[in-house]
Amino acid sequence: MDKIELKGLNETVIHETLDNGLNVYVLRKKQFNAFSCYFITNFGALIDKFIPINEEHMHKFPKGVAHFLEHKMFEQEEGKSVMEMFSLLGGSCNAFTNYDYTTYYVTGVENFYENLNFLIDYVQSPYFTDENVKKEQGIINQERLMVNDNPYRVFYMKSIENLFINYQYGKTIVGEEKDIFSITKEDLYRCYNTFYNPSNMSLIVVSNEKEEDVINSIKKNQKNKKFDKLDKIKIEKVIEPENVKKEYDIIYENVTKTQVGYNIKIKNDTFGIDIDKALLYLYILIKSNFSDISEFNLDLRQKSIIDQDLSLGVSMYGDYIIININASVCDDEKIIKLLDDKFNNLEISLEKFDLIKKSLISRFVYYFMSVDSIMNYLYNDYFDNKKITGDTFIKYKELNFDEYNDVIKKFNTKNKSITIMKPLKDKE
Amino acid sequence: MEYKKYEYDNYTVHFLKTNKFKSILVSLQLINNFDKETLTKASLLRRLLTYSTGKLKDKTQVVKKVYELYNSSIFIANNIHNNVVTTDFSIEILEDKYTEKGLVKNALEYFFDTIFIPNIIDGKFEESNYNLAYKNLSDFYDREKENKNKYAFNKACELLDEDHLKLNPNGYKEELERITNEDMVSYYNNLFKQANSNIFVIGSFNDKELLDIINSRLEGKLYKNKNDFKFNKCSAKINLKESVDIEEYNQSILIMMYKTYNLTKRERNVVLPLFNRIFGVGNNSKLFRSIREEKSLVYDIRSSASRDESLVIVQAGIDYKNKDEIVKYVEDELNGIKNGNVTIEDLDNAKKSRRHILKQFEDDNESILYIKIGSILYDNDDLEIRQQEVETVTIDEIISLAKKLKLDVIYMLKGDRNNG
Repeated sequence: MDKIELKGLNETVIHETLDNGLNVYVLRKKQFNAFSCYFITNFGALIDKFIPINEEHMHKFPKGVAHFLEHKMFEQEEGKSVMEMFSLLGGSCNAFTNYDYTTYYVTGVENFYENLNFLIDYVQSPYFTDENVKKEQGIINQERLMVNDNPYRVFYMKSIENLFINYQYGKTIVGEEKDIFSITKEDLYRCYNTFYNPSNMSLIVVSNEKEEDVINSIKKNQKNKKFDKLDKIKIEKVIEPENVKKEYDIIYENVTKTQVGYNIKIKNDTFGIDIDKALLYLYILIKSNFSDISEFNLDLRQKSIIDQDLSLGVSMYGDYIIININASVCDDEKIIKLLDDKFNNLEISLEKFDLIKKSLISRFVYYFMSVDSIMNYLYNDYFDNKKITGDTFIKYKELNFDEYNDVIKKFNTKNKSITIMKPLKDKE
Repeated sequence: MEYKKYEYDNYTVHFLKTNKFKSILVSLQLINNFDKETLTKASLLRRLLTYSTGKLKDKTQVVKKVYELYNSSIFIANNIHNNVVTTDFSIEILEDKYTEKGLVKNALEYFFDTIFIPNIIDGKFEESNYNLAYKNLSDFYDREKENKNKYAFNKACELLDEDHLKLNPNGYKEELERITNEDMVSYYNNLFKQANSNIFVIGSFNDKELLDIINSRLEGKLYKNKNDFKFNKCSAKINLKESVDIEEYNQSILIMMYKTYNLTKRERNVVLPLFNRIFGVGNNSKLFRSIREEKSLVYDIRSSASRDESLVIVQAGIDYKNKDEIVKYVEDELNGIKNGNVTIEDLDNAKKSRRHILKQFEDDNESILYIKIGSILYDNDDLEIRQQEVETVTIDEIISLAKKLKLDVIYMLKGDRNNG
């Protein structure tokens, strides 16, 4: 058992790796009624080619298999359904799949240990049949249609897809129709047996219970369960070049205004410092120059060049940092030119650096005001690092203007992709 | 939690004292009557007051101020409560001990400046900010179709009878086009004179210090008129309306609206939320189990209950060709409840789920505050009463309430992009 201090926040996470390899993280918040438990496997939509456990060769699986598996984990061989069981226990359960992970969770206020143990039990007892796989195909296809009716999500995914030549980021998480209808129960078992081994999973718990009691309960749960020994999973390694897939692209969706996505791709070792800090500095740079705190954004709005504040993102995708600026416009060529010009004349302001840093730091106090937001904090840490480090807050506190200037000197926009979403009527 | 009330001639101050949280949440509630025009003006005013103030002349200055105050952002919302609308000005401020000395005082000054020192020059809102706010609202209306669920919901509401008419709290584009800058100044000035005014604060603070700040800023600014809030008396007359619109979506949206009438206070406040959970909330509801899990016809189906309007609304993303089948299954599930198909387990599960939500409210300062506001201003029950009452609901009460549901609207937003 080891302690992970959430530096600067006066909070501690207790961590233990169990004998079967399962990583358990527990944070106690005595004054709250609620609990939240996240059971995570390191298997998301990016992974579709790997050597399944107890096999020898690489196998390619249909797109969307991780998400399909997430849906089917709610099947039980006998007795009550997962939903009914959680209802009986007063827990609220669900699951979600992103590119890197699949996460199952339960939240509640009563029967903590029963809910926690049932979460572990149902995720560790798969039951797939030809019939229940077929039954799910129609449901997931409806989900696919629903997702595709959100034009801003379609636009965002296309913007990301246009940046990457080999990476699967931006491609569908749910799968295309042909993928969904081609998935079999055998596919699901092969994926399950490989990635749902405890040594490839983590459990994060926030509750008002003693950390030691929580860990002992999980140990007891795992004691009599048998799992195959899992060596390092061999997943097809994808090498991504620095250039972008498409420098310019136009899509047509059911929107009223044209959207311009201005996206920059930068290798994550460009800046020579801790990658989390580099991301923060770039965030401050983009925020101070393009967000509603910038005179540039105000000027664009007052001149009606954009009709909403610019929206911004700075994120990591594999070995790359992606900077994303979206504008809602009448004249797409004009905004691209203005953004190009602005990137050539970036403002470096100590005043804005300090203000944005202050604003970022204040977020952490808010994080620790509810169980859900504490879980979000821990999950984000896990998401970025495949483990909980506890370093996030201290990295914010340590940001300094000199280092910021060093990062800006190395910043470049040479790999850039523009994706434009126009209203359907413009296509005609 | 300690509750204190300070009544003044023109407004009432309500304090909820707790040290469970690290912030102070303040909400000024102005209750007024409304129509389509005032809802639209309220939406425009929300933008006008937050884009600039008499002291901070443009949005960039406002944003800088918010960051300087550790993200103490001001939110202005217009919430319809049956026959009245509340303009809710709120701000959340981190306590001084987590930030810096004087933050609460400074942030409150900024809060009241935003409300009472607008950027008005020579009897008009400053022109460039007015134009920005106006354009932003106009664009907002143009974009309403982009969220198909919301759009379908608003279209379905338009089919409701007059006595159930749910106006869009965001207002209407045709109303906006008639509004002038001078109209907005006049609306702003009257907003305070005609309202019933209350201010609520939750957190850990010194009563006297806070009262001094509040009173120094509210004195002479507010008026204490009658709160006209009352529940609709819904007509028992049923006149089923059906309508289909076609749009370029992949998937179709089905909305079914059920009227209820003559609900007692207990039915409205206590039984209706439990009935709704059994019928269509969450992944163990009757609708979810039957139409998604057993018949695989949808990914998402759910019901919601509007307490103020006494409506139950079913919403699902569907394949259009299955519309009649799904409507029938929804009706079958409701008829099942009417005919007694509710088990003790159904009711217990719904109670557990409700208990979970009510208990979670105790962990959230915003929930505690708005439940208190609901109990004081809108005839709702306080949290403690809700927690006690939920345990006393019987199966007979669920069945009896189900029998009061009458199908009033079936609306389809048909997606024709891929024959959806």
